[in-house]
Amino acid sequence: MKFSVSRSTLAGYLQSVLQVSPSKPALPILSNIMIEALEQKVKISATDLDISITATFECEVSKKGVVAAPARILYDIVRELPESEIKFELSGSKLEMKAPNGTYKIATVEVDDYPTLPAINLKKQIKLAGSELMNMISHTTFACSTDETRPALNGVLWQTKSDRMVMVATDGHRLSRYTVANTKLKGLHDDVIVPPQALNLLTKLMTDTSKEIGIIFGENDLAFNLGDITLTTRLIEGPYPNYDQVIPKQSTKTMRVNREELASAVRRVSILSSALTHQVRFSISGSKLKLSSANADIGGEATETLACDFQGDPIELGYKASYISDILNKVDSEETLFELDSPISAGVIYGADKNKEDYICLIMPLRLAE
Amino acid sequence: MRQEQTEQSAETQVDWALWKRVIFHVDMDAFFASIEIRNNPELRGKPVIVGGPIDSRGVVAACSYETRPFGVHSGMPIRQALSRCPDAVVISGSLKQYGYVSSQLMNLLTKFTSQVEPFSVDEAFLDVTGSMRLHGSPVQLAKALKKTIADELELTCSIGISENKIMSKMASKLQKPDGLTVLDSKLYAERFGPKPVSVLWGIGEKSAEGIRKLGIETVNDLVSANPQALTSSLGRFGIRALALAKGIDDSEVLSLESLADEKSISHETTFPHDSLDKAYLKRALLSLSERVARRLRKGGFLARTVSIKVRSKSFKTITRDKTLATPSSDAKMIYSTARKLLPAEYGTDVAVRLLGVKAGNLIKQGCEVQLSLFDSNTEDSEKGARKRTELISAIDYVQDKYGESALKKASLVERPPE
Repeated sequence: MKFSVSRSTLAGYLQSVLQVSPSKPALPILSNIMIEALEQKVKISATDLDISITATFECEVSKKGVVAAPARILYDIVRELPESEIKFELSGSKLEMKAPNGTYKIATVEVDDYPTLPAINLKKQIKLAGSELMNMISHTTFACSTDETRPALNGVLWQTKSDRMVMVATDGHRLSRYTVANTKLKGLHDDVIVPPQALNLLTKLMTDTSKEIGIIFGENDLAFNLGDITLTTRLIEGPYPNYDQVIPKQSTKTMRVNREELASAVRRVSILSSALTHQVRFSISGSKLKLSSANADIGGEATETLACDFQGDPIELGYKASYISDILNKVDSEETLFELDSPISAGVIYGADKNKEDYICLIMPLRLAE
Repeated sequence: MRQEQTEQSAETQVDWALWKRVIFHVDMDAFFASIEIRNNPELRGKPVIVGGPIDSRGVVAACSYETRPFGVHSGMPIRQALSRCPDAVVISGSLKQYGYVSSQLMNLLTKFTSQVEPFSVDEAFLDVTGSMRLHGSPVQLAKALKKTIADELELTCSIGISENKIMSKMASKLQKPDGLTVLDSKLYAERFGPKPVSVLWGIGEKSAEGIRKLGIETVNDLVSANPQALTSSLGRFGIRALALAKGIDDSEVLSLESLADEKSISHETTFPHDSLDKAYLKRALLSLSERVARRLRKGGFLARTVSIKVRSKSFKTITRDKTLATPSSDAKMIYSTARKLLPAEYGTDVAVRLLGVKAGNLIKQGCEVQLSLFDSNTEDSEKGARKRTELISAIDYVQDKYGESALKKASLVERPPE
């Protein structure tokens, strides 16, 4: 194997694929990346067994070949080298890097030991607007569960069957659902459950959201094609719970409140909330929303009163502060609407100037102590 | 007869109405030995020693009162005990059974007050301040308690009654066996004042020596010592020693009810042999998880975190913890979490000598619980959860009534010897 590539090109791609190279790998071999020199192009890939990233770039290849080498060390060397062409050559079992200022050699590992990466059939790809995908991901992944006892909830449900394309995430306590019009994927594939780590990585790799992104559904995996970079992720097995039936169809109370005012008040009041439950109590009546918290351990109490537009009988309920904050961060409108029913039923939150169908969040209260 | 005398002196000298709290220290008499004698009446009246083995390592775990005139006491090497009392019957005993009787005892005590702090396998502190109205005087309550223990367990105990834990603990040992002693601070000073400081609870020979170096011999000397001089030479222990001498103690009776402040419940076990058997370790984790879960439910708690403690053959100890998505008191949830926390190399490459399971960040059941979107809305899961709750409480009922070994997971049943 023999090729040469500019330092900056390689450094950029190494940085991209290193996103999946785990610092504490499940298998020692996973701390390596695979380098394949093909016809006038080089492919570098890394995987943590669930998510794989491959970068492909054009360069001068004088001899084809494939090796696996320690990812971090390779990146550390390339990053520190001054800008120039670097000549790579496999000599024996060592990978040699020649730069104008010197030569570096590192031991490679058996390529056969490296996990086989999922094959991607680019012919089957369907292109979606990058901005659309970005929006769906950034509004949902925060609500995923990290509880391994319910694996389906560890992922984002992506539904593409109907006229609306939907992404849903929930940890059983709060839920977020983002939908957009769906023309290109309609009816092509069943619902999939995607690990949020893969989606979050995708948004990091998506440097230009005006570009289109290719989607390739595999049997147990899903690939995103960004042109020079592809990200493949294993899918999570279902079934996903029937989230639709937990979305309240009607409400007896509604509250309209300034989003930024509420978000900052919740942040302040929650400082004195219980260290165990982080509960902030919402007492709503007339045109007033009173937030309060108490922490018996440090002997602290806080209250703040905000103006709101409230319809319905007075209500008191408790919410975990971070659940409310997370949602208020995502509902990007000046005013937020809360649709409520009882202190033990799910509340629906969405932007007051937005279409409720596009983006809603659900939050379950904390049962108040007597 | 002695008991009645005490009672009379107590009632003439002590004014209950002035007491802020009424604390009992219940101390079983020669607990292990008494259980063996109860089980085998032929042993009655004979010197009985529980402990062993009869070699250089064995020690006395408990001994009947018949051995006491020979100078036998618990903790003594068994060979020395036998040389002093050659006729003693030595029984190796069953720790399992003693543990069961102990749990029966603690259950009985909670019938008199919810504020019960099990202090060791055979002693407990009770805060009965709130039970006075129901039971009349403390002495009447103590007599009722002794009668219940005698009727239900066929065992005797000695009870110390006072205003705090230190004084009641000191009181219970004044009359043994089958005693009942009331002390207020005046009687406490009279009884212990002239005695050497080593008589005090928690002052061993070594600390007593440190105190004697200051020219302090008796409890009275200690009471009148200069507090600054005590703390400057003994440190924080000086404050404790002074409190012990004066019989001052504000500490609460820490019942399971008040355990919310402690914020954790744990069980651990040291294996007879370091284990490289993964299946065995998993069973041990399951058993520990079940015990932790049962105590959680008894106290009405839910755990928010589960931790494990693992000590290797080479005495390296690690702990790992995980926060549960939903607070739980279900052994199934605690076990499945604990099992995942056990690093893969333990039980395969690394031999394990100790395992512990801890439920932490406890919250009181029924207060400020994060509600779930799915459980509260889907009928099926609600039905499933209810069924599971019913099953767990049925198991609890059987175990409360017949002991923890009456009903257990099949994987925890030991194979009978072939």
